[in-house]
Amino acid sequence: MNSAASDLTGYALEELQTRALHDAIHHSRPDGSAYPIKECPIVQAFPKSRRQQGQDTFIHKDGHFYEVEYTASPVEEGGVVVGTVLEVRDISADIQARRALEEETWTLELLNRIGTMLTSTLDLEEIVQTVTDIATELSGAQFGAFFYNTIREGKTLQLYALSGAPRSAFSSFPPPRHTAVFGPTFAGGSVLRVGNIKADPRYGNHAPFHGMPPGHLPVTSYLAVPVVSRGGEILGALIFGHKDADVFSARSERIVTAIAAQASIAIDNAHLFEAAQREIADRQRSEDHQKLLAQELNHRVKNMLATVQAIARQTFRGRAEDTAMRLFTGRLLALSHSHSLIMRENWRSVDLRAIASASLAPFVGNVAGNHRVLLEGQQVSLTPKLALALGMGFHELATNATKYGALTSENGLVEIRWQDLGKGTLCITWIEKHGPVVVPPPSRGFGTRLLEEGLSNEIGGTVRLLHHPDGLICEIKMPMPEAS
Amino acid sequence: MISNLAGLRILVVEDEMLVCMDIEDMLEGFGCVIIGPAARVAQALTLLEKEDVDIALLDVNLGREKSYPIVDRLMARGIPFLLSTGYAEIDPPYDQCPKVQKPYSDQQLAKSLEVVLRTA
Repeated sequence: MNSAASDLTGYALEELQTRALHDAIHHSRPDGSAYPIKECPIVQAFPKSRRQQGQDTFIHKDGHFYEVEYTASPVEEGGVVVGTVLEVRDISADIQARRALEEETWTLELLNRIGTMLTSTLDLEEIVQTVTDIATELSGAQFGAFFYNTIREGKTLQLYALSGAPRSAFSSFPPPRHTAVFGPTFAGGSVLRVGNIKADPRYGNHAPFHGMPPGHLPVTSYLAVPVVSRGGEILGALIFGHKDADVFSARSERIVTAIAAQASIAIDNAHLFEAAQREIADRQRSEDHQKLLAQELNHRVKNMLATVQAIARQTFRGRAEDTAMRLFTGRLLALSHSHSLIMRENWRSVDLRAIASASLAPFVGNVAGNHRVLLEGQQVSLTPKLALALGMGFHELATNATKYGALTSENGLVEIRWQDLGKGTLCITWIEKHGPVVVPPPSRGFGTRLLEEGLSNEIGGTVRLLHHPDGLICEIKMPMPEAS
Repeated sequence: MISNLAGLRILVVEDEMLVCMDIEDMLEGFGCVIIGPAARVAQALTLLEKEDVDIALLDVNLGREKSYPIVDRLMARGIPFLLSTGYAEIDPPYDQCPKVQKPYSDQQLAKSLEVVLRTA
């Protein structure tokens, strides 16, 4: 026995010379049960005359166990086994290092799981539950809980997630308040780790329970870590308990603090997401409401026009004003068609081409592919007001063309072209071709007045009517409507 | 007005008094025989039970009611019909039914009714 062996076993050579080695250093197992010599593989090396190797646990003279790796080699002299050389190496440190490594790996795995989960979900409930579960596991707590800090709203702490205990374990208690124990965490934002909470001076100072209410899960070891938002607001806290004292180490505190920091970011994100969702829902509701109002408005406008038409027809019924009545009806319907387009676009904007087409349709039928009509120009969006005014203008021009101009014959052609003249000016030209020779009208009728005065006023531009012998030309210049 | 709608027994459902008068005038002008007019769903359904009807002209919005139950009955009995509406929003599947937009001229009404009869 060398000196290293003495250090390892705690015995001096002379202390062991008189007794069986097994009885001194190998008599019990780590669980305290006896280790019978018959089962000892080291002792077996001698009768079996075979080298034995392995790992086992020895007992130090002072009673503590230590892990060893041994080799027991029988020594022969002249074919007879005369003894065993026992080489022993203390591997406690190795084993401890391996266990620590395993534990670290496991911790990292869990932290990784939390990281992945926190970046992959915006579901607040899921975030808080996972954080509570994993933090409870990593801290070594029997149970853990996440409480929302609702004190700032004048209320109490609200239990949100629970791990290691059923919810019913808390449901019968009134919600906890800012007591001396909770205060530092929920109001002060600091970590509180106590080996025995019941022995802490801050514990049990508050009525009615002076401590935990009867029936509360047994808490001796206590760890509370606040979850603080980016803005410094204390969102809540993770609280852990264990029935035994001194369970939570500085390491558990560090791990849980790290988890709490991650959780706060995830909770912040989830709150932002929820706020955004709420805003979207609000906007959707208000849009729906607006749509409903627009529909009601559409309905009323159309009914009003139908009623006006009915009144006019009833008023002029059976009289000689048949032509006047037809003109009136035509104008009213033109107005109505323009309204239809505006309604279809929800009172936002109407395409110039669409308004021109709708105005001409009652006179020539479908405009698309029609040989009597040519529409050409870029896409221009008109406000409802402009659309109504131009619609009425086109109607008057088309009425005139049908009565006296290009639309009196099958060969006649109406060209409507528009272009951006630059400097914010839009120019629309109505040109009639292949119609009868144009004679300027003797007097200014409603159509002329509407175009030259009414329309130019309404669009804030100029309208010029040219009674060219080859065909009527109308030139409309107006500010280019801003794209909406 | 020359009309191939003459003699048709037409059920009219319309709740706007003035518009209704106007429609009656137009239809009488076509030589139609007017059944009704009805301003409510129940009224229209009763008329459908009692009277022979060749075709129907229905306003979609009847105050708080919609004329859809009348449409269902007409379809079940194979009677052609034309919906009239102030605006384009008719609930599906009724939005697929033949319709005419209010306000309409007598020519438009006659044309729409003829199309319905032809395709019935």
